[in-house]
Amino acid sequence: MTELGLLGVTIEFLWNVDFWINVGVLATTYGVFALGIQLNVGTTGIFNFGQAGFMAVGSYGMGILVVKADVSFWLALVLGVLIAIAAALLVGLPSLRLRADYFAISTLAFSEIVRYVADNWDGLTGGNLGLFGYTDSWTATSARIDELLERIGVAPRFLLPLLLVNLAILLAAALVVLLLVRSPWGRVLRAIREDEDAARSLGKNTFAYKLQSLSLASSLAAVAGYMLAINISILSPANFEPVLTAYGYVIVILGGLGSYAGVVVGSALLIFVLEATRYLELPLSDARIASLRFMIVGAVLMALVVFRPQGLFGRREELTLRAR
Amino acid sequence: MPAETSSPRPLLSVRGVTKRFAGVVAVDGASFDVAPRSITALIGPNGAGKSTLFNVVTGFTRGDAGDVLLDGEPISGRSPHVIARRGLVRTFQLTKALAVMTVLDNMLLAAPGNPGERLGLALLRPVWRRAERAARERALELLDVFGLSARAGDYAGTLSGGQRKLLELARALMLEPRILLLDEPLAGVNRTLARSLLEHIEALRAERGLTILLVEHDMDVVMRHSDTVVVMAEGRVLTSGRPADVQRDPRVVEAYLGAGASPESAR
Repeated sequence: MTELGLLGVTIEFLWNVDFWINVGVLATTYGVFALGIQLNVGTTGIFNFGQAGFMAVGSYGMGILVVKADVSFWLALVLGVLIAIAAALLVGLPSLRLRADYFAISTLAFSEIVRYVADNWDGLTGGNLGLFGYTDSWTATSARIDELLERIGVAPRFLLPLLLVNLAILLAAALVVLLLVRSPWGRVLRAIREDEDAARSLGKNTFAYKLQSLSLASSLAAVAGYMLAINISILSPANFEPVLTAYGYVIVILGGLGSYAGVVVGSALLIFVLEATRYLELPLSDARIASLRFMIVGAVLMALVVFRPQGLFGRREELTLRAR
Repeated sequence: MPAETSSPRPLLSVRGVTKRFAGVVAVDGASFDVAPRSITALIGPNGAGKSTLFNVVTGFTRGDAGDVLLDGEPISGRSPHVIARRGLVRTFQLTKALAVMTVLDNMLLAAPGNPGERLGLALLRPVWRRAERAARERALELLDVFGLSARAGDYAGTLSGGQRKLLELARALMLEPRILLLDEPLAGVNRTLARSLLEHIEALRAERGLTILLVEHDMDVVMRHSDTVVVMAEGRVLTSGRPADVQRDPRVVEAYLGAGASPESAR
Protein backbone atom coordinates (compact mmCIF):
# COMPACT_ATOMS: atom_id res chain seq x y z
CA MET A 1 0.00 0.00 0.00
CA THR A 2 1.38 3.37 -1.03
CA GLU A 3 0.88 5.48 2.02
CA LEU A 4 2.18 8.76 3.32
CA GLY A 5 1.81 7.57 6.87
CA LEU A 6 2.15 10.87 8.67
CA LEU A 7 -0.44 12.67 6.57
CA GLY A 8 -2.78 9.74 6.63
CA VAL A 9 -3.43 9.94 2.94
CA THR A 10 -3.59 6.82 0.84
CA ILE A 11 -2.44 7.90 -2.57
CA GLU A 12 -3.11 4.77 -4.54
CA PHE A 13 -6.41 6.32 -5.72
CA LEU A 14 -4.25 8.50 -7.95
CA TRP A 15 -3.66 5.45 -10.16
CA ASN A 16 -7.35 4.71 -10.41
CA VAL A 17 -8.83 5.79 -13.74
CA ASP A 18 -12.34 5.93 -12.31
CA PHE A 19 -11.16 8.50 -9.77
CA TRP A 20 -9.99 10.74 -12.56
CA ILE A 21 -13.11 10.21 -14.65
CA ASN A 22 -15.18 11.21 -11.64
CA VAL A 23 -13.02 14.29 -11.03
CA GLY A 24 -13.33 15.16 -14.72
CA VAL A 25 -17.09 14.86 -14.81
CA LEU A 26 -17.50 16.99 -11.70
CA ALA A 27 -14.84 19.53 -12.70
CA THR A 28 -16.41 20.09 -16.12
CA THR A 29 -19.81 20.53 -14.47
CA TYR A 30 -18.48 23.07 -11.99
CA GLY A 31 -16.43 24.67 -14.76
CA VAL A 32 -19.48 25.46 -16.90
CA PHE A 33 -21.30 26.58 -13.75
CA ALA A 34 -18.45 28.92 -12.76
CA LEU A 35 -18.05 30.34 -16.28
CA GLY A 36 -21.34 32.12 -15.64
CA ILE A 37 -20.16 33.46 -12.28
CA GLN A 38 -16.95 34.67 -13.91
CA LEU A 39 -18.95 36.45 -16.61
CA ASN A 40 -21.13 38.17 -13.99
CA VAL A 41 -18.59 38.88 -11.27
CA GLY A 42 -15.23 39.00 -13.02
CA THR A 43 -16.31 40.69 -16.23
CA THR A 44 -19.54 42.61 -15.53
CA GLY A 45 -19.03 43.33 -11.84
CA ILE A 46 -22.49 42.14 -10.77
CA PHE A 47 -22.62 39.78 -7.80
CA ASN A 48 -24.84 36.88 -8.73
CA PHE A 49 -25.30 34.72 -5.63
CA GLY A 50 -28.10 32.72 -7.19
CA GLN A 51 -26.24 30.60 -9.71
CA ALA A 52 -27.29 27.39 -7.90
CA GLY A 53 -30.91 28.55 -8.21
CA PHE A 54 -30.58 29.08 -11.96
CA MET A 55 -28.97 25.65 -12.19
CA ALA A 56 -31.94 24.15 -10.34
CA VAL A 57 -34.47 25.95 -12.54
CA GLY A 58 -32.78 24.76 -15.73
CA SER A 59 -32.27 21.15 -14.72
CA TYR A 60 -35.63 20.74 -12.99
CA GLY A 61 -37.25 22.42 -16.00
CA MET A 62 -35.64 19.86 -18.28
CA GLY A 63 -36.45 16.94 -15.95
CA ILE A 64 -40.06 17.91 -15.41
CA LEU A 65 -40.67 18.41 -19.12
CA VAL A 66 -39.31 14.94 -19.89
CA VAL A 67 -40.84 13.05 -16.96
CA LYS A 68 -44.17 14.82 -16.48
CA ALA A 69 -44.91 16.31 -19.88
CA ASP A 70 -43.37 13.61 -22.05
CA VAL A 71 -41.33 16.15 -24.00
CA SER A 72 -38.36 14.71 -25.89
CA PHE A 73 -35.09 14.89 -23.94
CA TRP A 74 -33.34 16.91 -26.66
CA LEU A 75 -36.12 19.46 -26.95
CA ALA A 76 -36.24 19.67 -23.14
CA LEU A 77 -32.55 20.58 -23.10
CA VAL A 78 -33.35 23.62 -25.24
CA LEU A 79 -36.47 24.53 -23.27
CA GLY A 80 -34.65 24.20 -19.95
CA VAL A 81 -32.19 26.86 -21.05
CA LEU A 82 -35.06 29.12 -22.10
CA ILE A 83 -36.70 28.59 -18.70
CA ALA A 84 -33.43 29.51 -17.00
CA ILE A 85 -33.22 32.68 -19.12
CA ALA A 86 -36.80 33.53 -18.15
CA ALA A 87 -35.82 33.09 -14.50
CA ALA A 88 -32.82 35.37 -14.98
CA LEU A 89 -35.08 38.05 -16.47
CA LEU A 90 -37.59 37.59 -13.65
CA VAL A 91 -34.87 38.11 -11.04
CA GLY A 92 -32.90 40.72 -12.96
CA LEU A 93 -35.66 43.03 -14.18
CA PRO A 94 -36.61 44.32 -10.74
CA SER A 95 -33.28 43.87 -8.96
CA LEU A 96 -30.62 44.91 -11.48
CA ARG A 97 -31.82 48.50 -11.25
CA LEU A 98 -31.10 48.45 -7.53
CA ARG A 99 -27.80 49.03 -5.82
CA ALA A 100 -25.30 46.21 -6.26
CA ASP A 101 -25.77 44.77 -2.76
CA TYR A 102 -29.56 44.54 -3.15
CA PHE A 103 -29.08 42.65 -6.39
CA ALA A 104 -26.77 40.19 -4.64
CA ILE A 105 -29.31 39.59 -1.86
CA SER A 106 -32.15 39.19 -4.37
CA THR A 107 -30.31 36.49 -6.27
CA LEU A 108 -29.50 34.61 -3.08
CA ALA A 109 -33.14 34.82 -1.98
CA PHE A 110 -34.26 33.59 -5.41
CA SER A 111 -31.90 30.64 -5.13
CA GLU A 112 -33.36 29.60 -1.79
CA ILE A 113 -36.94 30.12 -2.95
CA VAL A 114 -36.31 27.76 -5.87
CA ARG A 115 -34.90 25.15 -3.54
CA TYR A 116 -37.80 25.38 -1.09
CA VAL A 117 -40.33 25.18 -3.91
CA ALA A 118 -38.56 22.11 -5.29
CA ASP A 119 -38.63 20.60 -1.81
CA ASN A 120 -42.31 21.21 -1.20
CA TRP A 121 -44.06 20.97 -4.56
CA ASP A 122 -43.91 17.17 -4.47
CA GLY A 123 -46.40 16.70 -7.28
CA LEU A 124 -44.19 18.50 -9.75
CA THR A 125 -40.66 17.95 -8.50
CA GLY A 126 -40.85 14.75 -6.49
CA GLY A 127 -39.92 16.75 -3.39
CA ASN A 128 -37.02 15.42 -1.38
CA LEU A 129 -37.54 11.95 -2.83
CA GLY A 130 -36.17 13.40 -6.01
CA LEU A 131 -37.07 13.53 -9.68
CA PHE A 132 -35.84 10.73 -11.93
CA GLY A 133 -36.61 8.99 -15.20
CA TYR A 134 -35.30 11.62 -17.61
CA THR A 135 -32.11 9.81 -18.59
CA ASP A 136 -33.37 7.25 -21.17
CA SER A 137 -32.27 9.23 -24.22
CA TRP A 138 -28.91 9.90 -22.63
CA THR A 139 -28.38 6.23 -21.76
CA ALA A 140 -28.96 5.32 -25.43
CA THR A 141 -26.56 8.06 -26.57
CA SER A 142 -23.99 7.00 -24.00
CA ALA A 143 -24.15 3.41 -25.29
CA ARG A 144 -23.57 4.66 -28.82
CA ILE A 145 -20.51 6.64 -27.69
CA ASP A 146 -19.24 3.49 -25.97
CA GLU A 147 -19.61 1.62 -29.27
CA LEU A 148 -17.61 4.27 -31.09
CA LEU A 149 -14.93 4.18 -28.41
CA GLU A 150 -14.71 0.41 -28.63
CA ARG A 151 -14.18 0.67 -32.37
CA ILE A 152 -11.07 2.78 -31.76
CA GLY A 153 -9.92 0.37 -29.09
CA VAL A 154 -11.04 2.06 -25.89
CA ALA A 155 -12.75 -0.24 -23.42
CA PRO A 156 -16.12 1.02 -22.16
CA ARG A 157 -15.98 2.62 -18.78
CA PHE A 158 -18.67 4.01 -16.54
CA LEU A 159 -19.16 7.78 -17.06
CA LEU A 160 -16.48 7.99 -19.75
CA PRO A 161 -19.00 9.05 -22.46
CA LEU A 162 -20.37 11.73 -20.13
CA LEU A 163 -16.84 12.96 -19.41
CA LEU A 164 -16.12 13.32 -23.14
CA VAL A 165 -19.37 15.16 -23.81
CA ASN A 166 -18.84 17.37 -20.75
CA LEU A 167 -15.31 18.20 -21.83
CA ALA A 168 -16.49 19.19 -25.30
CA ILE A 169 -19.25 21.35 -23.80
CA LEU A 170 -16.91 23.04 -21.31
CA LEU A 171 -14.33 23.87 -23.96
CA ALA A 172 -16.97 25.11 -26.41
CA ALA A 173 -18.67 27.20 -23.72
CA ALA A 174 -15.38 28.67 -22.52
CA LEU A 175 -14.42 29.55 -26.10
CA VAL A 176 -17.77 31.21 -26.84
CA VAL A 177 -17.70 33.21 -23.61
CA LEU A 178 -14.10 34.22 -24.21
CA LEU A 179 -14.88 35.44 -27.74
CA LEU A 180 -17.90 37.33 -26.43
CA VAL A 181 -15.88 38.98 -23.68
CA ARG A 182 -13.24 40.06 -26.19
CA SER A 183 -15.82 41.54 -28.57
CA PRO A 184 -17.18 45.09 -28.37
CA TRP A 185 -20.08 43.60 -26.41
CA GLY A 186 -17.66 42.36 -23.78
CA ARG A 187 -15.98 45.75 -23.72
CA VAL A 188 -19.25 47.29 -22.56
CA LEU A 189 -19.50 44.68 -19.79
CA ARG A 190 -15.99 45.51 -18.62
CA ALA A 191 -16.86 49.21 -18.65
CA ILE A 192 -19.87 48.49 -16.44
CA ARG A 193 -17.57 46.63 -14.05
CA GLU A 194 -15.20 49.60 -13.93
CA ASP A 195 -17.80 52.37 -13.60
CA GLU A 196 -21.41 51.94 -14.56
CA ASP A 197 -22.17 55.68 -14.57
CA ALA A 198 -19.30 56.32 -16.97
CA ALA A 199 -20.69 53.66 -19.32
CA ARG A 200 -24.13 55.25 -19.14
CA SER A 201 -22.71 58.69 -19.83
CA LEU A 202 -21.13 57.22 -22.97
CA GLY A 203 -24.48 56.11 -24.35
CA LYS A 204 -24.56 52.49 -23.13
CA ASN A 205 -27.81 50.98 -21.90
CA THR A 206 -26.08 49.33 -18.97
CA PHE A 207 -29.26 47.80 -17.57
CA ALA A 208 -29.81 45.82 -20.78
CA TYR A 209 -26.21 44.61 -20.75
CA LYS A 210 -26.43 43.49 -17.13
CA LEU A 211 -29.60 41.55 -17.97
CA GLN A 212 -27.84 39.90 -20.90
CA SER A 213 -24.87 39.00 -18.73
CA LEU A 214 -27.15 37.47 -16.10
CA SER A 215 -29.19 35.58 -18.72
CA LEU A 216 -26.06 34.11 -20.25
CA ALA A 217 -24.80 33.05 -16.81
CA SER A 218 -28.17 31.47 -16.11
CA SER A 219 -28.02 29.55 -19.42
CA LEU A 220 -24.61 28.22 -18.45
CA ALA A 221 -26.01 27.24 -15.05
CA ALA A 222 -28.78 25.31 -16.80
CA VAL A 223 -26.24 23.43 -18.93
CA ALA A 224 -24.18 22.65 -15.82
CA GLY A 225 -27.45 21.47 -14.29
CA TYR A 226 -27.92 18.98 -17.14
CA MET A 227 -24.41 17.65 -16.55
CA LEU A 228 -25.22 17.14 -12.89
CA ALA A 229 -28.67 15.69 -13.60
CA ILE A 230 -27.23 13.09 -15.99
CA ASN A 231 -24.32 12.29 -13.71
CA ILE A 232 -26.44 11.52 -10.65
CA SER A 233 -29.63 10.41 -12.49
CA ILE A 234 -31.84 11.99 -9.85
CA LEU A 235 -32.59 15.61 -9.09
CA SER A 236 -33.06 16.48 -5.47
CA PRO A 237 -33.33 19.90 -3.79
CA ALA A 238 -30.28 19.09 -1.67
CA ASN A 239 -28.13 19.29 -4.81
CA PHE A 240 -28.79 23.00 -5.14
CA GLU A 241 -27.82 24.50 -1.82
CA PRO A 242 -26.19 27.95 -1.86
CA VAL A 243 -22.84 26.36 -1.05
CA LEU A 244 -22.75 25.30 -4.69
CA THR A 245 -22.65 28.96 -5.69
CA ALA A 246 -19.92 29.47 -3.09
CA TYR A 247 -17.88 26.76 -4.82
CA GLY A 248 -18.32 28.69 -8.03
CA TYR A 249 -16.87 31.77 -6.33
CA VAL A 250 -13.98 29.71 -4.94
CA ILE A 251 -13.21 28.56 -8.50
CA VAL A 252 -13.32 32.12 -9.81
CA ILE A 253 -11.01 33.37 -7.05
CA LEU A 254 -8.64 30.41 -7.45
CA GLY A 255 -8.40 30.86 -11.18
CA GLY A 256 -8.26 34.65 -11.08
CA LEU A 257 -10.96 37.28 -11.42
CA GLY A 258 -11.79 37.84 -15.07
CA SER A 259 -9.75 34.89 -16.36
CA TYR A 260 -11.60 32.18 -18.29
CA ALA A 261 -8.62 29.83 -18.48
CA GLY A 262 -8.58 30.30 -14.71
CA VAL A 263 -12.14 28.96 -14.48
CA VAL A 264 -11.19 25.74 -16.28
CA VAL A 265 -8.04 25.18 -14.22
CA GLY A 266 -9.61 26.43 -10.99
CA SER A 267 -12.53 24.03 -11.20
CA ALA A 268 -10.22 21.10 -11.92
CA LEU A 269 -8.08 22.07 -8.93
CA LEU A 270 -10.98 22.56 -6.52
CA ILE A 271 -12.66 19.30 -7.46
CA PHE A 272 -9.36 17.43 -7.26
CA VAL A 273 -8.74 18.71 -3.74
CA LEU A 274 -12.32 18.01 -2.68
CA GLU A 275 -12.28 14.48 -4.10
CA ALA A 276 -8.74 13.57 -3.08
CA THR A 277 -9.38 14.57 0.54
CA ARG A 278 -12.07 11.89 0.64
CA TYR A 279 -9.17 9.49 0.95
CA LEU A 280 -7.90 11.02 4.17
CA GLU A 281 -7.32 8.31 6.73
CA LEU A 282 -7.20 9.68 10.23
CA PRO A 283 -8.32 8.36 13.59
CA LEU A 284 -11.41 10.55 13.37
CA SER A 285 -15.10 10.00 12.77
CA ASP A 286 -16.33 10.29 9.18
CA ALA A 287 -18.22 13.47 10.00
CA ARG A 288 -15.06 15.08 11.29
CA ILE A 289 -13.07 14.02 8.26
CA ALA A 290 -15.80 15.52 6.09
CA SER A 291 -15.41 18.81 7.93
CA LEU A 292 -11.65 18.59 7.67
CA ARG A 293 -11.91 18.43 3.88
CA PHE A 294 -13.53 21.83 3.83
CA MET A 295 -10.96 23.18 6.24
CA ILE A 296 -8.28 22.07 3.82
CA VAL A 297 -10.04 23.83 0.94
CA GLY A 298 -10.31 26.90 3.15
CA ALA A 299 -6.61 26.78 4.04
CA VAL A 300 -5.62 26.43 0.37
CA LEU A 301 -7.81 29.38 -0.50
CA MET A 302 -6.41 31.51 2.32
CA ALA A 303 -2.85 30.70 1.33
CA LEU A 304 -3.70 31.69 -2.22
CA VAL A 305 -5.24 34.99 -1.20
CA VAL A 306 -2.17 35.77 0.90
CA PHE A 307 0.51 34.73 -1.56
CA ARG A 308 -1.21 35.16 -4.90
CA PRO A 309 -4.21 37.44 -4.42
CA GLN A 310 -4.79 37.75 -8.16
CA GLY A 311 -5.43 33.99 -8.42
CA LEU A 312 -3.60 31.54 -10.68
CA PHE A 313 -4.28 33.35 -13.94
CA GLY A 314 -5.21 36.84 -12.78
CA ARG A 315 -3.05 39.88 -13.30
CA ARG A 316 -1.59 41.45 -10.19
CA GLU A 317 -1.40 44.84 -11.90
CA GLU A 318 -5.19 44.90 -12.23
CA LEU A 319 -5.56 44.42 -8.49
CA THR A 320 -3.25 47.30 -7.66
CA LEU A 321 -5.00 49.54 -10.18
CA ARG A 322 -8.32 48.84 -8.47
CA ALA A 323 -6.86 49.65 -5.09
CA ARG A 324 -5.74 53.10 -6.22
CA MET B 1 -25.06 75.56 -38.97
CA PRO B 2 -25.72 78.94 -40.60
CA ALA B 3 -29.46 78.89 -39.80
CA GLU B 4 -28.72 78.81 -36.11
CA THR B 5 -26.41 81.76 -36.12
CA SER B 6 -29.20 83.94 -37.52
CA SER B 7 -31.98 82.50 -35.34
CA PRO B 8 -31.23 82.61 -31.64
CA ARG B 9 -32.84 79.24 -30.84
CA PRO B 10 -30.96 77.83 -27.83
CA LEU B 11 -29.29 74.45 -28.20
CA LEU B 12 -30.07 73.59 -24.61
CA SER B 13 -32.98 75.01 -22.73
CA VAL B 14 -33.64 74.41 -19.05
CA ARG B 15 -37.22 75.34 -18.07
CA GLY B 16 -38.29 75.52 -14.42
CA VAL B 17 -36.36 72.42 -13.35
CA THR B 18 -37.02 71.48 -9.73
CA LYS B 19 -35.51 68.71 -7.67
CA ARG B 20 -36.21 67.92 -4.04
CA PHE B 21 -34.39 65.46 -1.82
CA ALA B 22 -36.43 64.41 1.22
CA GLY B 23 -37.95 67.86 1.65
CA VAL B 24 -34.81 69.81 0.79
CA VAL B 25 -35.18 71.72 -2.45
CA ALA B 26 -31.85 71.31 -4.22
CA VAL B 27 -32.95 72.91 -7.47
CA ASP B 28 -35.88 75.30 -7.35
CA GLY B 29 -37.38 76.15 -10.72
CA ALA B 30 -34.11 76.81 -12.52
CA SER B 31 -34.39 78.17 -16.05
CA PHE B 32 -31.70 79.23 -18.50
CA ASP B 33 -30.64 78.79 -22.11
CA VAL B 34 -27.40 77.76 -23.73
CA ALA B 35 -26.81 79.30 -27.15
CA PRO B 36 -25.31 77.12 -29.86
CA ARG B 37 -21.51 77.37 -30.17
CA SER B 38 -21.28 79.22 -26.89
CA ILE B 39 -19.18 78.50 -23.85
CA THR B 40 -21.56 78.93 -20.95
CA ALA B 41 -20.37 78.79 -17.37
CA LEU B 42 -22.61 77.70 -14.53
CA ILE B 43 -21.36 79.19 -11.28
CA GLY B 44 -22.57 79.61 -7.74
CA PRO B 45 -21.54 79.00 -4.16
CA ASN B 46 -21.29 75.46 -2.80
CA GLY B 47 -24.73 73.94 -2.37
CA ALA B 48 -26.26 76.18 -5.04
CA GLY B 49 -27.56 73.10 -6.86
CA LYS B 50 -25.22 73.10 -9.85
CA SER B 51 -24.30 69.45 -9.67
CA THR B 52 -27.87 68.36 -9.05
CA LEU B 53 -28.98 70.42 -12.03
CA PHE B 54 -26.25 68.78 -14.13
CA ASN B 55 -27.51 65.39 -13.05
CA VAL B 56 -31.11 66.24 -13.92
CA VAL B 57 -30.15 67.63 -17.34
CA THR B 58 -28.08 64.54 -18.18
CA GLY B 59 -30.72 62.10 -16.91
CA PHE B 60 -28.74 60.74 -13.97
CA THR B 61 -31.32 62.16 -11.58
CA ARG B 62 -35.00 62.45 -12.33
CA GLY B 63 -36.29 65.98 -11.82
CA ASP B 64 -39.54 66.61 -9.95
CA ALA B 65 -40.75 69.34 -12.28
CA GLY B 66 -39.71 71.33 -15.31
CA ASP B 67 -38.43 70.53 -18.78
CA VAL B 68 -35.09 70.19 -20.47
CA LEU B 69 -35.03 70.75 -24.24
CA LEU B 70 -32.14 69.76 -26.47
CA ASP B 71 -32.41 71.65 -29.76
CA GLY B 72 -36.14 72.02 -29.10
CA GLU B 73 -36.70 68.34 -28.31
CA PRO B 74 -37.71 67.42 -24.76
CA ILE B 75 -35.19 65.11 -23.07
CA SER B 76 -36.35 65.32 -19.46
CA GLY B 77 -37.06 61.93 -17.95
CA ARG B 78 -34.96 60.12 -20.55
CA SER B 79 -32.24 57.69 -19.51
CA PRO B 80 -28.65 58.94 -19.44
CA HIS B 81 -27.63 56.71 -22.35
CA VAL B 82 -30.46 58.01 -24.53
CA ILE B 83 -29.54 61.61 -23.75
CA ALA B 84 -25.87 60.90 -24.48
CA ARG B 85 -26.78 59.37 -27.85
CA ARG B 86 -28.83 62.43 -28.72
CA GLY B 87 -25.65 64.45 -28.49
CA LEU B 88 -25.59 65.79 -24.94
CA VAL B 89 -22.50 64.28 -23.34
CA ARG B 90 -21.16 64.93 -19.87
CA THR B 91 -17.99 64.48 -17.91
CA PHE B 92 -17.76 64.05 -14.17
CA GLN B 93 -16.25 66.14 -11.41
CA LEU B 94 -14.27 63.13 -10.23
CA THR B 95 -12.88 61.65 -13.42
CA LYS B 96 -14.25 58.31 -14.38
CA ALA B 97 -11.42 56.72 -16.28
CA LEU B 98 -12.21 53.03 -16.68
CA ALA B 99 -9.08 52.02 -14.77
CA VAL B 100 -8.63 48.36 -15.70
CA MET B 101 -9.23 49.00 -19.40
CA THR B 102 -6.63 50.33 -21.78
CA VAL B 103 -6.71 53.96 -22.85
CA LEU B 104 -7.62 52.81 -26.35
CA ASP B 105 -10.44 50.61 -25.03
CA ASN B 106 -11.77 53.62 -23.11
CA MET B 107 -11.96 55.45 -26.42
CA LEU B 108 -13.38 52.56 -28.47
CA LEU B 109 -16.07 51.98 -25.88
CA ALA B 110 -17.42 55.47 -26.49
CA ALA B 111 -17.75 55.05 -30.28
CA PRO B 112 -21.45 55.02 -31.10
CA GLY B 113 -23.27 52.48 -33.23
CA ASN B 114 -20.78 49.59 -33.20
CA PRO B 115 -22.85 46.52 -34.24
CA GLY B 116 -20.42 44.31 -32.29
CA GLU B 117 -21.90 45.70 -29.09
CA ARG B 118 -25.03 43.66 -29.73
CA LEU B 119 -25.00 40.24 -28.09
CA GLY B 120 -26.45 38.66 -31.22
CA LEU B 121 -23.69 39.99 -33.46
CA ALA B 122 -20.73 39.95 -31.08
CA LEU B 123 -19.51 36.56 -32.32
CA LEU B 124 -19.76 37.57 -35.98
CA ARG B 125 -16.51 39.47 -36.24
CA PRO B 126 -16.83 40.22 -39.99
CA VAL B 127 -20.04 42.13 -39.26
CA TRP B 128 -18.38 44.60 -36.91
CA ARG B 129 -14.77 44.57 -38.04
CA ARG B 130 -15.17 47.63 -40.24
CA ALA B 131 -16.94 49.71 -37.56
CA GLU B 132 -14.28 48.71 -35.07
CA ARG B 133 -11.49 49.71 -37.42
CA ALA B 134 -13.08 53.10 -38.16
CA ALA B 135 -13.53 53.71 -34.43
CA ARG B 136 -9.91 52.80 -33.83
CA GLU B 137 -8.74 55.32 -36.43
CA ARG B 138 -10.81 58.08 -34.91
CA ALA B 139 -9.70 57.14 -31.42
CA LEU B 140 -6.03 57.29 -32.37
CA GLU B 141 -6.55 60.66 -34.05
CA LEU B 142 -8.19 62.07 -30.93
CA LEU B 143 -5.57 60.57 -28.64
CA ASP B 144 -2.99 62.28 -30.80
CA VAL B 145 -4.76 65.63 -30.44
CA PHE B 146 -4.77 65.24 -26.66
CA GLY B 147 -1.19 64.00 -26.47
CA LEU B 148 -2.10 60.54 -25.23
CA SER B 149 -1.01 58.44 -28.24
CA ALA B 150 1.97 57.00 -26.42
CA ARG B 151 -0.32 55.70 -23.67
CA ALA B 152 -2.91 54.03 -25.93
CA GLY B 153 -1.99 50.52 -24.83
CA ASP B 154 -1.65 51.28 -21.12
CA TYR B 155 -4.30 50.74 -18.50
CA ALA B 156 -6.18 54.00 -17.97
CA GLY B 157 -5.59 53.52 -14.25
CA THR B 158 -1.89 54.22 -14.77
CA LEU B 159 -2.54 57.74 -16.12
CA SER B 160 -1.89 60.80 -13.98
CA GLY B 161 -4.86 62.81 -12.74
CA GLY B 162 -4.41 65.39 -15.46
CA GLN B 163 -4.08 62.77 -18.20
CA ARG B 164 -7.30 61.21 -17.00
CA LYS B 165 -9.06 64.55 -17.46
CA LEU B 166 -7.72 64.71 -21.00
CA LEU B 167 -8.79 61.12 -21.65
CA GLU B 168 -12.26 61.84 -20.36
CA LEU B 169 -12.58 64.81 -22.68
CA ALA B 170 -11.21 62.89 -25.67
CA ARG B 171 -13.50 59.97 -24.87
CA ALA B 172 -16.55 62.21 -24.73
CA LEU B 173 -15.65 63.47 -28.21
CA MET B 174 -15.84 59.93 -29.59
CA LEU B 175 -19.64 60.29 -29.31
CA GLU B 176 -19.55 63.31 -31.63
CA PRO B 177 -21.58 65.37 -29.18
CA ARG B 178 -23.42 68.57 -30.02
CA ILE B 179 -23.05 69.88 -26.50
CA LEU B 180 -20.55 68.96 -23.81
CA LEU B 181 -21.38 69.36 -20.13
CA LEU B 182 -18.18 69.58 -18.13
CA ASP B 183 -18.50 69.28 -14.36
CA GLU B 184 -15.57 71.20 -12.88
CA PRO B 185 -13.12 70.21 -15.62
CA LEU B 186 -10.27 72.10 -13.95
CA ALA B 187 -10.76 70.82 -10.41
CA GLY B 188 -7.52 69.41 -9.04
CA VAL B 189 -5.60 70.21 -12.20
CA ASN B 190 -2.31 72.15 -12.20
CA ARG B 191 -1.96 75.48 -14.01
CA THR B 192 -0.16 74.18 -17.07
CA LEU B 193 -2.65 71.43 -17.66
CA ALA B 194 -5.57 73.77 -16.92
CA ARG B 195 -4.31 76.06 -19.66
CA SER B 196 -4.00 73.16 -22.06
CA LEU B 197 -7.50 71.94 -21.19
CA LEU B 198 -8.91 75.42 -21.78
CA GLU B 199 -7.13 75.63 -25.12
CA HIS B 200 -8.67 72.30 -26.08
CA ILE B 201 -12.11 73.48 -25.04
CA GLU B 202 -11.79 76.71 -27.02
CA ALA B 203 -10.52 74.76 -30.03
CA LEU B 204 -13.46 72.36 -29.84
CA ARG B 205 -15.83 75.27 -30.11
CA ALA B 206 -13.87 76.95 -32.88
CA GLU B 207 -13.05 73.87 -34.98
CA ARG B 208 -15.93 71.49 -34.32
CA GLY B 209 -18.67 73.99 -33.58
CA LEU B 210 -19.22 72.39 -30.19
CA THR B 211 -21.35 74.02 -27.52
CA ILE B 212 -20.01 73.84 -23.99
CA LEU B 213 -21.68 74.19 -20.62
CA LEU B 214 -19.35 73.96 -17.68
CA VAL B 215 -19.44 74.20 -13.94
CA GLU B 216 -16.37 76.07 -12.75
CA HIS B 217 -15.19 77.69 -9.56
CA ASP B 218 -12.18 79.57 -10.87
CA MET B 219 -13.57 83.06 -11.53
CA ASP B 220 -10.57 84.08 -13.62
CA VAL B 221 -11.30 81.22 -15.99
CA VAL B 222 -15.01 81.93 -16.03
CA MET B 223 -14.53 85.62 -16.79
CA ARG B 224 -11.90 85.06 -19.44
CA HIS B 225 -13.21 82.04 -21.32
CA SER B 226 -16.99 82.04 -21.19
CA ASP B 227 -19.47 83.98 -23.32
CA THR B 228 -22.34 83.63 -20.90
CA VAL B 229 -22.40 83.11 -17.17
CA VAL B 230 -25.35 81.60 -15.34
CA VAL B 231 -25.30 82.26 -11.60
CA MET B 232 -27.11 79.90 -9.26
CA ALA B 233 -27.76 80.33 -5.56
CA GLU B 234 -29.93 78.25 -3.26
CA GLY B 235 -31.30 76.20 -6.14
CA ARG B 236 -32.42 79.18 -8.20
CA VAL B 237 -30.93 80.92 -11.18
CA LEU B 238 -30.03 84.35 -9.83
CA THR B 239 -29.04 85.94 -13.08
CA SER B 240 -27.31 85.24 -16.35
CA GLY B 241 -25.50 87.34 -18.91
CA ARG B 242 -22.11 88.39 -20.17
CA PRO B 243 -19.33 87.78 -17.64
CA ALA B 244 -18.56 91.48 -17.10
CA ASP B 245 -22.22 92.33 -16.41
CA VAL B 246 -22.71 89.40 -14.08
CA GLN B 247 -19.59 90.28 -12.13
CA ARG B 248 -20.98 93.76 -11.39
CA ASP B 249 -24.42 92.48 -10.39
CA PRO B 250 -24.88 93.26 -6.67
CA ARG B 251 -27.09 90.18 -6.21
CA VAL B 252 -24.22 87.96 -7.34
CA VAL B 253 -21.79 89.59 -4.96
CA GLU B 254 -24.30 89.18 -2.18
CA ALA B 255 -24.92 85.51 -2.95
CA TYR B 256 -21.22 84.80 -2.69
CA LEU B 257 -20.78 87.00 0.39
CA GLY B 258 -23.72 85.22 1.96
CA ALA B 259 -21.84 81.97 1.39
CA GLY B 260 -18.76 83.54 2.95
CA ALA B 261 -16.76 84.62 -0.08
CA SER B 262 -16.71 87.12 -2.91
CA PRO B 263 -16.67 86.01 -6.52
CA GLU B 264 -13.08 87.20 -6.76
CA SER B 265 -11.88 84.92 -4.01
CA ALA B 266 -14.15 81.96 -4.74
CA ARG B 267 -11.56 79.69 -6.26
